[in-house]
Amino acid sequence: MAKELTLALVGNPNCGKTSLFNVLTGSRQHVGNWPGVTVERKEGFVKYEDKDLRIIDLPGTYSFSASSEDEIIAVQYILRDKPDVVINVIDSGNIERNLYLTVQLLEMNTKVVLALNMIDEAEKKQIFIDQRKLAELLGVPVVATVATKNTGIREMLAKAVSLEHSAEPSFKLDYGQPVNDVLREIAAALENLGIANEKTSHLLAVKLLEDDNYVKEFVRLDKHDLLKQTVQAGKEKIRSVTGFDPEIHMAGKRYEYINYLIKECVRKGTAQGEDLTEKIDKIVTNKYLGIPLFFLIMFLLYMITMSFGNDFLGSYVELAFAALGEYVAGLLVNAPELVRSFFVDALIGGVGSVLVFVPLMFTMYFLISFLEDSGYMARAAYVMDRLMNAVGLHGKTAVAMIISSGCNVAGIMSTRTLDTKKDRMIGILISPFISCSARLPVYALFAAAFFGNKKVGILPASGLVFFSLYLLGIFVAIVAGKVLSKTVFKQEKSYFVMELPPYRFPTLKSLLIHMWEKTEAFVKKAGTIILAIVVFLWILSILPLGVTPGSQESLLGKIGSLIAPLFAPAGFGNWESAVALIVGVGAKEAIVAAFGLVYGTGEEMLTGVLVQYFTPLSAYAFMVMTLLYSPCAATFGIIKKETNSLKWALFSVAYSFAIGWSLAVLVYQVGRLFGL
Amino acid sequence: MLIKVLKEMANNELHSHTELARKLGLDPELVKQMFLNLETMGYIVSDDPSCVDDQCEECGVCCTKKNKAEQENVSAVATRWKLTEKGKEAVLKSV
Repeated sequence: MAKELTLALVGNPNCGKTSLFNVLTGSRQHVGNWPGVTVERKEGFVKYEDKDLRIIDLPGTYSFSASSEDEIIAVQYILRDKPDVVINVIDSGNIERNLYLTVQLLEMNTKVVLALNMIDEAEKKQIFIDQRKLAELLGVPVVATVATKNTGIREMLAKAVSLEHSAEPSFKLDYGQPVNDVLREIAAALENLGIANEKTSHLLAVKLLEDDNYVKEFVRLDKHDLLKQTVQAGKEKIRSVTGFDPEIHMAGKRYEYINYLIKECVRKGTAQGEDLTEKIDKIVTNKYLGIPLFFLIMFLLYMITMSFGNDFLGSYVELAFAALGEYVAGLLVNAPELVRSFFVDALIGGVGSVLVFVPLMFTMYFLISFLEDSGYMARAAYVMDRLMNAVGLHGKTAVAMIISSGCNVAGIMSTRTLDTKKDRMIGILISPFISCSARLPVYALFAAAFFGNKKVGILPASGLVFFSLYLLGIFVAIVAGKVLSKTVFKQEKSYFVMELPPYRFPTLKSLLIHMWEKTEAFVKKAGTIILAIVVFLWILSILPLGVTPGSQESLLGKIGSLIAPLFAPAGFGNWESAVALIVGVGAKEAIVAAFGLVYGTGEEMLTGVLVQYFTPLSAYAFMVMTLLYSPCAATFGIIKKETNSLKWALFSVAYSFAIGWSLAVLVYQVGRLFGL
Repeated sequence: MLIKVLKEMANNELHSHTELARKLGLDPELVKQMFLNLETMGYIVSDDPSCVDDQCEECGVCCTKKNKAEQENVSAVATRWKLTEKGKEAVLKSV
């Protein structure tokens, strides 16, 4: 009768173990569960020459630390069931990460064959493993395999079968003193108690020092006081000499050994792509060039997004909606004014105010996806992190802030590149403070009316006013971010370690897919909220029926009159300004149109009218209010969507209004103190 | 060797695996594996565990962390780590 040998397959997840199992056993396999647990147990059979081989596929595990069900099953099977040979399947392309398990396996003093699987993938990555040297240093047979191509399998089986009559290996890692002495003492205690023999005592001693729960139960540590005391004394001795727990000290020694194996046996050629990556990174992550380069790239991204996405493509959307509005107005020429106004102003105007953002979104996401997929965004976070971290923010938050200067909606959407919930929430809540392009018409109007011909030195006052508002927005965003990170999102200091992937040229297909996925979400969800708000404001402006739309007698005007005194300390406590700010909640650029509506004049005449109702100081205070107060409907909708919480969207409205009002009042009152 | 990784993390706030590996004379892939081990042994935790538990299903954000965690072991892609009390003690002892 042919002798049956049991071979156990052991390895990290995704090392190709299952492929190997399937190639070995074909249809001669059955699947069940390991006793008492829901973890799948796969067992199969293969004939090799005159031998029947039973193959057990153990669960994939990164180590034998017995901290998970999979690890316990693997350790239990090897210690208790004692397979004849263990085949350690290794992902050759990630050999460094697989060898930890290998070293622990060797300490179990079981017969091992190392299968360097996926060797073809490793060679493509320019990773070359000296199999002969590795076999010599580890003292085990090493075979290269490609399970998916059935390569090296017979050699692997041959090596496994050849170990049947060989002596069991005796592998002992040098843990240094006093660990080696302590291990000898514990091993001796185990042998004296008859719990282990000279082949198994060292492994059990290692596991007991590492506080392995499975092994503690296996040896019934609680029942053996002398053994327990020996282990405890050993741990204390190690702590007092090395300063650390045995577990971390011993793991460190394993890594030293693995590092030695890698240096001796693994050669990595520099792939052309990696070489180029290193050259580019010398500039991109340079201490002095990194940040200016980042700002340059963001400036270009912003310019392209606004000029191409917003000005060029967006203008076609605007034209389309204007044409649609005219067409529908023509169709409804005989309909009641209210019906026509609802369809043309509220629905078409309202929907248009949402969809006009779509080309901007497409452009921005296309460019962001390009930066992400190419690998640059990881570098951006890397170079900006030190700067942003100084104020309690994540490096990638800088990207969101810069994009917000084009459109707050886009800036908030770009916080999806942030990895943690805390960083994302802070990015979302501070982005609305950044001066966006929608506010520009308001600044332009007031700057022209009050600062148009003035200069400060050689610099135009209007330009300085614009710049001061941008700086103020950034300053408030950073301060708010710092406060939020210390209070609402308070967390302990954390350490930033990240992957810098090699650069690659993204595919057009993936860029278009990413672009569409992110923009689609915006159109679907934000549109419903924005449309609802715009329609609501329109209703307020025409009620009660018969009033002049947008007048003080309309509901909107009455609401404006009601809240106007609130803005008196900021210098603009009139109902017209209040109405404009209310309308600005729908869309910031609509503030200009609102002034035109309430003052009964076209936008081009407004500069002359405004000087009658504002002073330069109150005008600046109004601009500060416009900069900082509650986000527009589109931004509100996106905050709600991105945070998945109405609470946070309302919080954003409330806290930004409070900050806007406070700073507007501060500017006005301090200005008055200085006689401005 | 693991203590050296913890000490480097505690001394500096910004690292790439490559930079850490270069400083310690190690392979970057080995450094990644060390992070896994340090996490298993309880010396560090990834900074935002809520992003990879069941709450992900209700979270409206399709973040990079969520996407990557679905494909690989999360510790390999987490970009922020915290020292646990055990980790802090180990770093203090090493000074």
